Amino acid sequence: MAPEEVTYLHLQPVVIYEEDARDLAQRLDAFLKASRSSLVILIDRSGQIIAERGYARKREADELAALAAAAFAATEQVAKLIGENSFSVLFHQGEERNIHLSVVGESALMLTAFDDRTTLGLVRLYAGEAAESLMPVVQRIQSRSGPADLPDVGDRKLFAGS
Amino acid sequence: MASINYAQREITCKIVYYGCALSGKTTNLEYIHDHVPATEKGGLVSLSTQGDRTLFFDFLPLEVQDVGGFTAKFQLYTVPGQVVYNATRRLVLRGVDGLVFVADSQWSQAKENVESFQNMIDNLSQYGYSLDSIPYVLQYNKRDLPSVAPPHYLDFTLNRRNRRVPVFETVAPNGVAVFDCLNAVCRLVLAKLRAA
Repeated sequence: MAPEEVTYLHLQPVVIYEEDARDLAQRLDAFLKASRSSLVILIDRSGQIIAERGYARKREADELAALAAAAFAATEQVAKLIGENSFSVLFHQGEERNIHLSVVGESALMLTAFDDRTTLGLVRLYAGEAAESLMPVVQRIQSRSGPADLPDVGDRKLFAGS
Repeated sequence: MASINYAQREITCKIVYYGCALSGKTTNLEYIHDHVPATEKGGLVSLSTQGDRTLFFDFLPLEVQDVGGFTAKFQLYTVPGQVVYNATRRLVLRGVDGLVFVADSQWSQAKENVESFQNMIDNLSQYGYSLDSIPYVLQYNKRDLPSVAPPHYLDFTLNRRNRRVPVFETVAPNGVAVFDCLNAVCRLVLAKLRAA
């Protein structure tokens, strides 16, 4: 039996500096304006947010990112079952709001929420352009290794419970 | 994988509760969700079957303000314990920063615990991860039940790698040692990030 394929992922943390955040925000804002969408979240494949712009309730973006990354990972496995490497776009249509999910390179996803003030075609068109412009920034961020100047928590009880 | 955002002064880490079916992974998250102040948590998202068994995962975002000038965000996930859901277990492990292995302490589950622990190692290896390089703790759960194996037996079967890890004897529905275990894994993950 052939050995199963191993996907090597690095365990180094992703480090985002002011300059990266500014570059991402500029590109995501341009996309939001052009596509007339209400929210865009740049997510790494493990479900963590790299950047977000637009309107989301507090912590709504965390849940959206975790669920979207999982949905994308699951459909990637479905794609493999039918001989495709991956599906590059996922679209979920609601009655009032819709979700468009597309890849940004191999390690990130872009989630866009939009309503009837725009169209799927417009979102798709500008999502492709946005992915191109975001890719170099994402690669720059993900190619760094982690810094050492993080806080020492020692024995601090982070969560007390009640 | 963890992210450190200097622009927003945020550290975000992913912690996965792993273990065999019905060992109490979801119960851990439910207890934590019920006993963390609203300012420190998001909603508990559960993707479960009609019979309340985990189908894909549970997800609970937590955060702590002012950790050395950062907000530390911990995203807690569980995996589905049932053997048939291995593909989804593997997906949840992607980008994991820390693990809590939840063992069912009952004698009757001894084999299932060992198989699940090995399954965790195998699934990590699919991403090129090794348990030797990921912070993790062990949780011996259901200590209130009558027919449980003693901790030294569970150590013998589960905590026998070169690196011995912290162990917590828990009763998840009552919260016994649940927060001690959570705090321990969070501290280990932050310490590992600091040393990166």
